[in-house]
Amino acid sequence: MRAAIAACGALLVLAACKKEKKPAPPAPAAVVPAETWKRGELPLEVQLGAPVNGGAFTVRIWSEPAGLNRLHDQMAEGWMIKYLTGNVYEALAELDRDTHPAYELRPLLAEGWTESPDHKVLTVRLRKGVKFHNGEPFTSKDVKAVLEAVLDLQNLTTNLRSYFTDLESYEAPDDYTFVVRWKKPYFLANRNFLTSMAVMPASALEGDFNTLPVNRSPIGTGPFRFVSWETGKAITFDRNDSYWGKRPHLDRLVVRIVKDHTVATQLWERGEFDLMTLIQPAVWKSIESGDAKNAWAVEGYHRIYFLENIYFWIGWNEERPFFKDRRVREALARLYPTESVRDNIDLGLELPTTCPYYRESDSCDSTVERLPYDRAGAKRLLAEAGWKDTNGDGVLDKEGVPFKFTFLNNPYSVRMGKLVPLLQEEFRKVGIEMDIEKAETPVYIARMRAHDFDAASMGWSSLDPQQDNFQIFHSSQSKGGSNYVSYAEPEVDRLLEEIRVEFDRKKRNALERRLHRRLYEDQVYLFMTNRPYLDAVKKHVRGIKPSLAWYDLRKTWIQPSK
Amino acid sequence: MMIPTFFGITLLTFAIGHLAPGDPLLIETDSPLPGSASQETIDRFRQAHGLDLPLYVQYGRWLSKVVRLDFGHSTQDHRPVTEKIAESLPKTLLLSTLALFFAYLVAVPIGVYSAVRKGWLERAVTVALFALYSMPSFWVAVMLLLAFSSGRALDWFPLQGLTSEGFAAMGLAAKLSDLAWHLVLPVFCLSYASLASVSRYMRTGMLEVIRQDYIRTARAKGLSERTVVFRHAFRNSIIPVVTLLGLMLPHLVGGSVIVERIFGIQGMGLLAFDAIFHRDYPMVMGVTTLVALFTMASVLLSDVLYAVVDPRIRVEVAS
Repeated sequence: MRAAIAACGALLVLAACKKEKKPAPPAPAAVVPAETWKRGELPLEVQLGAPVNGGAFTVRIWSEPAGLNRLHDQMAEGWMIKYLTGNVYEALAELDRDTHPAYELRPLLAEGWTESPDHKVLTVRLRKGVKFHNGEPFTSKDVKAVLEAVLDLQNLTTNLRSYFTDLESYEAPDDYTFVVRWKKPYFLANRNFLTSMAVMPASALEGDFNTLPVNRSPIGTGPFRFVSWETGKAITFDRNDSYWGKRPHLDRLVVRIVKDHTVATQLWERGEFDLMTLIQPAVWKSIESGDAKNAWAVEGYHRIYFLENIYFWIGWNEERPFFKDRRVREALARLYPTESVRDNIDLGLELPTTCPYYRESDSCDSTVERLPYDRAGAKRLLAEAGWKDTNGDGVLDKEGVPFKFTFLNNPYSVRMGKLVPLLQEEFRKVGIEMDIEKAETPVYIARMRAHDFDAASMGWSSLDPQQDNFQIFHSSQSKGGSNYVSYAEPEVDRLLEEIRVEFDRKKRNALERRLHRRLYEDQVYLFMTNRPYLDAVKKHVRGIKPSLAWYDLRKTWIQPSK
Repeated sequence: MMIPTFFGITLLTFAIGHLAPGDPLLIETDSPLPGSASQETIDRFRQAHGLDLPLYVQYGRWLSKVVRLDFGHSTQDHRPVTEKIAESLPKTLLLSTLALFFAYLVAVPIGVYSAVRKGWLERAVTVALFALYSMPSFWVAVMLLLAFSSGRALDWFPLQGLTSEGFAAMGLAAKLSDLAWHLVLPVFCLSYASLASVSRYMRTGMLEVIRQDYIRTARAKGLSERTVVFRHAFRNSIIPVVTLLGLMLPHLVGGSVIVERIFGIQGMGLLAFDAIFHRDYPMVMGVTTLVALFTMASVLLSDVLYAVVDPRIRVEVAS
């Protein structure tokens, strides 16, 4: 016992003297951030200068990935692809970040491709001389193996498999050619195929898909190769010395897992991240005050504000008697206190939207105007729809049914946790009684799918801004699809069907703009906001630029201090 | 007695876990294409994992595997449950053993002191302990980090994890000191609350004993107060605290979600929390089984310890 105490005492002493105190830094003077810094725009200098090779780049992520196999449903959420596997695996083509906001295709593991005039046959010429991180050469048999893994019904690859419901056949006539045939033309079929097949060696896909070694240590052809994964701590990648493309400048990429936002902010303040991600809105606002205590952020980092391709909505289940009527949905939208939400909940960071597409793309009709916050108008619309307080109990009713419903809320959404009570109060003022029910995520999603809710909220996002809304709004998708609100409108169905087979982008965009207008007029959802990335990058980082396809770390370098 | 208890615990956890609504594959995703997983995939997955069978069949299957020490694979990342536990358990054990050790190391003397001495200092200690006991650990943890690690006030301890960069390459002494340096704050967070309660238990135990006749006799013999307290009173008053130790042992393997999350330590608490959140049945059952075994072992242990510290209590072999 005594020995143990002595040993611990020694440990404590060691611990205390382990770290010499740093000399106290001189008290910084007040630092007023520049307007561009406040807006989260990267200054031009970041893109200038001659790249320097070397150095490690540290990124913060907020969750542990389930694995690093980009084909696996559980391992291919957007953030996992962006931050982790996006640098390891390559597909046949990538979204060209230089063509924002259209994001045309740029060949990657393909040298090029040809489409038959009827768009039903895609012939891809593969790049020669590419090697996987394990030294194996890349050929068409790898593409074939990947496609077969995706198509295998035993595998958890549903997300990718949904791209291939109309696949007729595929073949690899020689080592560097791959041909895909579709049963019918679809404007995204080839694009999805080219950009989403993360290519890995055929040999790595042998065995039980759930426990493949590549799930933990991925093998691709990308600019960075996997090195190590310490659970709960960090995942490390090194530059791929035998990369087929231009040599990346960074030597090492360290992705650190820091789940707690408060702790991540403190680590960031100590300068431990080259790229800080998912900055909390309150922190984002507090560091722009110009106080001396925020000098570390203003002087040490560039802030990055970039709108994601995501929109949040509130859905009214049209199987319920209240919400079938378009006028009721419009009335509810007029009760959404846009300004109050923007100032008090979103801190001016999220942008109100009306559009189910990427807001900067040509798919949105910029002339659609958002409904104002207007209680009188809402009351009038409700009355027109037949909702009146006939029995004087303070609650609107129609044909004996009181206007009472329940909002199903996911308790893990901080934003909705604040917003829904606000709506409840607004609704109460016009005589609508709304209860709030909380359900944790697995239950929440199960109930959305079963259409077992009155009102609920979600966000839809897509990595690719060229997207198809068929899954969400077509009447056929009420069953098994993502049309959780059971919206059914013949004209919208027609537009969605036309869009799917329109290969001319200009013409398709025109149809999409018509769809956007119609969906907003119909108030299929209460459209809320687009969310930005709130990131910050150390000032010594150069050649970095936000895009929907995330940062292109092949071009990023670290400017050594003089 | 222990075997039926084990069945009871695991059966109950199994039933509650599986009866709760939700599904391992329904994870949050904001892609409309096609949600987190199609119904077809969910059905196939349930079939592959035997989740479509009646509960008693599932439990029987689970049990028959467990006796062969096969806990199955996590449904989150498909790694073996035992591998994930083996990764988390040592960290939690290290943290909580140290925490318990320090809690007792400090609490027992404080308890004795506050029982035998009266005065303003004793009252001050009481108030301080209650204050300490009332503070929520998530708040204390964040405050400690702000004070000692952020560099805003002091920069003494690291913010995250149990080891520094390059730990593997260090010598033994450097490794130990690095570990100790990382352990100070989380161990404090884990120990302060039990410190407060243990010292109160100790005080109560002591107060009860010190009123006994034999203590008066000891004093009457002319023994020094020191001998009376430590030789005669202390031994008898430690019994309730030893029982308490038995009750605290299960926490050794359970871990703490809050402390682990804030200090970025991948321990048993986070493992269990994530498993429940993701409806990862094999993982939940694995952790439960471990904790159940530990709880039963510690009950047994405290019974044995009783006999050691109190000769009046004897363990009957027949039971």
